[in-house]
Amino acid sequence: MTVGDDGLTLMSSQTLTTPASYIGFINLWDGDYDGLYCTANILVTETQTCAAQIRLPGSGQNALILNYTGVNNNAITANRWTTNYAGIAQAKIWNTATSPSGQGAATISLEFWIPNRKLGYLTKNCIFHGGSGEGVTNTNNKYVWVQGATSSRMTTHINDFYILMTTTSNVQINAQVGSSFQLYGMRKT
Amino acid sequence: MSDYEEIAVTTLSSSAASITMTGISQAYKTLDVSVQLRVDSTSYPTGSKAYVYINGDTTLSNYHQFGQQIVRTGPSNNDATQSQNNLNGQFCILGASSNSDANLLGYSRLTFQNYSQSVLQKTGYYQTMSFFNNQNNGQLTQIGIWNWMSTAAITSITVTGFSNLLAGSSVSICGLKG
Repeated sequence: MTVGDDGLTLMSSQTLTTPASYIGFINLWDGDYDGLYCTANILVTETQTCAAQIRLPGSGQNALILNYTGVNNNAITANRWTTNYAGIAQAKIWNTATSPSGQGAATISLEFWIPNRKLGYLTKNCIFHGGSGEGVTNTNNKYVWVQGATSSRMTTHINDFYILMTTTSNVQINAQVGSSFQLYGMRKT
Repeated sequence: MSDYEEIAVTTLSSSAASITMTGISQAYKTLDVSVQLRVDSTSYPTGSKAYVYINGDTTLSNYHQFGQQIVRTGPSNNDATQSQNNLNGQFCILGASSNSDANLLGYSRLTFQNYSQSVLQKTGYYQTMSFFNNQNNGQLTQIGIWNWMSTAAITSITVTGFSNLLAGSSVSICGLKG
């Protein structure tokens, strides 16, 4: 992490006390920060492959550019996700675990940066990495590690974004109680 | 006032088997740990390894890690990208071997997310790199996720070298408020 002279300033912290299918960081207009840094620790108790998605705003039919490499059961795969979505740019952090439910389950860890979010003439990018592992009661050793970048292909400021939990077919599922999400601002120095 | 603060730093003035950071403040949401190591061994890759133990738990089967690595064993060898895992238990990072260039340290960054809660297992990321055998420009870089299968709040972190950690090796812990 690169931390400027002014360090990081906590802009928002949310720890779920009830399950939720998405977390929004919205109306960031008043934040005098040029860059955003977000970290999340998400418990998903699904028995199917699921994902935490980073969704940046776009405008109209913005194309999606996503490149990530993933590791799944010792197989290294390269992926480029080119599906167009209206108004969003996505990055997916997969969780392939058929997770055990309740306390003690392993979590998805997610970390990403959105630099230069207030620069008006450049498209906005997000660098991300994260991964997940199965909990203590599952012995299939399905671990995932992903890293990559996504771009919203828009030049306006990033003032809203969401972290959304879904299945592989984009059906929303819940992040469970205890999941936590923190957003920090980085000031240009 | 930054919400990213340095909590503790330990730098070895002489070689030692390990560095232990105890009494870690529970006042933060995430720990961002930087580790710089030089290990007193010339064997590769084992000799450049160091093991991370949390709360004094040395039961290796309680730890998992998974990710990718790129290894370069010499200037005439192709860089190799491989999956890297210790699914059967250990949380391992890297330092520079003692046959790398003088005064050179390996570097690791570890995050401990949600470390102070006692409901969920602990997970985070690691990025680590090693230098070895300066004659052949050996380098190894890994990136991935680690998992400690305990719900206990993290209060201490120990880094133990495969061989002694040499002078200049250090562990720095920063906290992110949440």
